[in-house]
Amino acid sequence: MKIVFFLLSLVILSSCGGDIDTKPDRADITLQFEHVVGNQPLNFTSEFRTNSNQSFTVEDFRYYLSNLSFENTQTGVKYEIPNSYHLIRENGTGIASLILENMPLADYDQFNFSWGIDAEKNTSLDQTGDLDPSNEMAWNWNTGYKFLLLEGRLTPSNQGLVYHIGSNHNYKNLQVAIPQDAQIDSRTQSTMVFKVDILKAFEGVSTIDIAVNNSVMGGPFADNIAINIAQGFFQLQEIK
Amino acid sequence: MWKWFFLLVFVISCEANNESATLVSLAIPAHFPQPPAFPDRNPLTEQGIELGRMLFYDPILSSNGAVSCATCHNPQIAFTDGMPRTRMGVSRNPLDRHSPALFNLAWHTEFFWDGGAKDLESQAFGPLQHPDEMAADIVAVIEKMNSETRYPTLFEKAFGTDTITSAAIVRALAQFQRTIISANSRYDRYMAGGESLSSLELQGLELFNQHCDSCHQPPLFTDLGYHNNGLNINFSADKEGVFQGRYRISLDSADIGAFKTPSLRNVAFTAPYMHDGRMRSLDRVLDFYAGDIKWSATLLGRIPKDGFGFDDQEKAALKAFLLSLADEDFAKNPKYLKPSAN
Repeated sequence: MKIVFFLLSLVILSSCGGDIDTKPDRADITLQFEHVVGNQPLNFTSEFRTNSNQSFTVEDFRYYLSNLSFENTQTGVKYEIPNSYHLIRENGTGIASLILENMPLADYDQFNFSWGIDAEKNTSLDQTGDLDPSNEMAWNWNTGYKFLLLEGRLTPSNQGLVYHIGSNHNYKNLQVAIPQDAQIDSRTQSTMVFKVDILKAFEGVSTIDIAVNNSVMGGPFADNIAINIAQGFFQLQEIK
Repeated sequence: MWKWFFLLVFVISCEANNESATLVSLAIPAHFPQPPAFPDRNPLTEQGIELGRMLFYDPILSSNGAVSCATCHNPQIAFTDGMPRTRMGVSRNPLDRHSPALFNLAWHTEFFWDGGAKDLESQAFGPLQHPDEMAADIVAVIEKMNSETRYPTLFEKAFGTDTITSAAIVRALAQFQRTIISANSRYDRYMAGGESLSSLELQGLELFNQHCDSCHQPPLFTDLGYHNNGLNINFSADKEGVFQGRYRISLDSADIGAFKTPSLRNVAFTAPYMHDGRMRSLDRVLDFYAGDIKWSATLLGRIPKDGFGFDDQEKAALKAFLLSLADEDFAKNPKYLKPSAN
């Protein structure tokens, strides 16, 4: 009953908010992920090259982001999105989006998110929504989730490229600053544009030779790729 | 906003409905320890167990509609399949490991030969989705189940909502499997004081207590641990480490070639033996432990590298004792068999 009451009050709050000519209380915030390989947009047909000139194609690319929150690091005001587990999936267009509906607004200066699934949720598979194993992101033989899946082919050999990456110790909390002039608290719709560069999975801390390590499904070697991803994979480009 | 409002009210009322499912507690055999707590999110209910039993025997869960859990876990032979590496899956390709027997699972906290599955709920996705087992496209399976009116009704009774989810499917399967208990062999009745064992069986029991019971600990006849028992010299890293045993889960080099200790209960029914079913008979198993151990760096220290040196008479005694662990009632228990409605 308490929940119902709370919701009713939210309905009232949000309907009031629209009528008053000040900053909105709530907004839809879209996270837009521009998937690229170096400076080329990702698609499922082109041939791409690593910085060491190995060519490859991509057939499937998805990853989990979780535990999203907006924060004002000065005041400590923080909004944590409940049950926040999001499978981001490339569909061949190079752009994937996640709409965060009806976020309560405040003077946020930081957006927090994590790559992967936290240890608590990563210990069982009987879950729904984006964590439903029908999304084919579960490790069925070693309970937990793949934090990132990248599949394709080396060219011209046509050899398979398979990267299934993610274990509890690879889970990574990430933060991006929300600049003052982005003014997300003064619009009912904002978009945060991230660049996600696949090449950054293969360079940074460790350089991965994709011809030698063309198939990595968990195991110790996967850590090299996970550490690269935790470093420079997700880059905030702009907020509009 | 209103859409969300109604959705939440709906969820709340569903949970209230679910209180109509009848909670049951597992009957623990008097000589067994208390099992570890089951996951809070999946309490045992009469309706959940019954749904799980129906699902266990229903090939609707496989992509070709021909393979059920019971295809490789036959209740007549302690829920195993009598084959070294089964070819009964959808693809007909042999698996890399032997179908394990299913009983007393309520006492286990990890599943598969390497313990990779952290609970029974999560375990089910392995065989369900493996291309060489049931190869299920879960979305398609749920669609099929929705077209059979009995299933939405049964899920409603068990979980308070007729929306079938993969989570509800595996929870029902886990509930049924937790009720599968075997604890009434001649050995159990001997220990309880109601039955006698032959002198050969008693000699076997004594040998067992000297050499075998540290891994095959009574009353479960397993320590639920992982050991390299000397089957192989080399452990290939191929196929995502499936031949390396526990190592592929723990990544601890001491676990290379270590597989979970199987229970010795019902070994009369569960041939062939070992994680890959390579030994056809108990005689072969006893010959192996007597003097056919293969040494490698991770061989369990308690196993002498030249074997235990059992002579023929000792092997006969051990075999007689092992056969006394057969639970005939268990194999015939109607509560575990295919429900008549299927």
